[in-house]
Amino acid sequence: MARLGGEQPGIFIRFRVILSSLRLSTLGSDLSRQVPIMDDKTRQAARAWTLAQPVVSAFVHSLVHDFGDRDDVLQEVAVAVIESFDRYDAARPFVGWALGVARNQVGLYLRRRGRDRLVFDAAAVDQLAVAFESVTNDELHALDHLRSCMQQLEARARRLCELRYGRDLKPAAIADIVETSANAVAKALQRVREQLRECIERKTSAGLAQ
Amino acid sequence: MDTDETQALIDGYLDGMLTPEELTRLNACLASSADFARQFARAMLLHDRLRAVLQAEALGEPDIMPAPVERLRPRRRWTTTAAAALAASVLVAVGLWHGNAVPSASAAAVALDRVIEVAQQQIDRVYRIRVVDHGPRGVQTPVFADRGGRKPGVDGADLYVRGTNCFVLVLYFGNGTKFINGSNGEIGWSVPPTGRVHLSHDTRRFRRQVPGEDADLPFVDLERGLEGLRRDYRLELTAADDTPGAEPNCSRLDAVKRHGPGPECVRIWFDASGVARRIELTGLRDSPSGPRSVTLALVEQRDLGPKFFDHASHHAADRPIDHE
Repeated sequence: MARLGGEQPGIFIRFRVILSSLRLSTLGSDLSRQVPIMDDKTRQAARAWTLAQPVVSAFVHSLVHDFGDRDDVLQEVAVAVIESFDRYDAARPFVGWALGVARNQVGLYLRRRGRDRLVFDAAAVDQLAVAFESVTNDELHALDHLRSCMQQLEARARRLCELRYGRDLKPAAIADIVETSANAVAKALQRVREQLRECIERKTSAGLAQ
Repeated sequence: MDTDETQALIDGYLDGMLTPEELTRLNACLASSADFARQFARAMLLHDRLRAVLQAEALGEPDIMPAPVERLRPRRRWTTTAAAALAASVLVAVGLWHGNAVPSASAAAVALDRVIEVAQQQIDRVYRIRVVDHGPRGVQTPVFADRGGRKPGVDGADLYVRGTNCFVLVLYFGNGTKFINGSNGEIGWSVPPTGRVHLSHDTRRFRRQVPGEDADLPFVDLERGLEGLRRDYRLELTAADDTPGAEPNCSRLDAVKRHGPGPECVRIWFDASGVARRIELTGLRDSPSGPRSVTLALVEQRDLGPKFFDHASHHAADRPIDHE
């Protein structure tokens, strides 16, 4: 969240807008009670967003390739979700609604950046939204095994992961560092992810069996 | 297309390696197959989480999956770092609202409200305790085994807490055996490595080794401990603390004692969602010879199961039991 406090005036203005929409209340007279308190609606929004965020993040990531761009868009989605939470119909699943907000924000972001179209067409994005909305809590919890599975990776595989995900490098840049071809790096990353998937499945099955 | 081919297409997309033709093919697959879209979504979730984990490690965050916890049933809920852009925005916004005109104390009180609110959630937390300043007697020789009646110290102990009155404190002997104290909120209990298990109707009977406990600043009951800070301490907030030794990506709440018992200073590093990631207590006076400064680092938050805080979960069924 370091970006939140960054040097972007637009972000500052946005937070003022959020704050004004929070319907802050002031209570009592002593210092501890003079500060604004979040109202119930905002708490509700925070809780709902907290639960939906991993799925929305992955959805945004599927439409916005670059890690840095993804972070910017996700931040704007969070803001938009809170700003428009009054329009959310509680009878419907929150994740689906948040995915809709995310989709709009991705479109806006790409337009602002002069890239007017999504990577995928509307039919594909529709299908993706349905797929992400159907992700279960169990599937999300299964990913909690990721850290322990990563500990089982061989040193080289681990190094590739650190370069790809820790330093946001693409296969071509990684290839320069590890002195091989971009294709070989891509293949190796594919194998690493496959290993991790299998490890997560094993651990999840073992957990269920206990 | 077989599964290997479709997976290769997805992986190619994840790493930005697809040709325009392959991208078109990927689009067509997504649009025409719900199963493929689900496969893609699962791959993307892993890809996204991988980045979250590796970024956290690159920034030096502690590993949150230590061995003792890992043996438990993994049912952690999503509540922590990945979420919470909202809470972060609220905290940061409060800091920015009037520029420098907002007193740090006001922002600190807001931050404390948020940390307390999160602490009220019925989510199990696991903290690891480290002694930073061992006090006037200096570093003590670790107690290697359960002989001679000496208990291990709190350095390296694990503290499991739920709600306001359930806890399990696991102290480790040098040889790895455990001395476990706890309470399920109805009875307090103590399980030494061997011999009798002790039960008491006083739920605080075996809490004395928890840092801050003697000073009525109970970090088992995090909510009450934090309320104590609001009452007896002067609060100051440092947003996005980047000082050496700080918890990465966290803000810091400093509480300096104004009056009453308790440590001289309590520092809480909390993340964007308001979760207390590290609590540092300095100037402790729990006991004349005890540690002067300790930290409690959040190891993990997750559901530990319905029986974890019962004594029976921590010893063999045939152990003799003393009721006090």
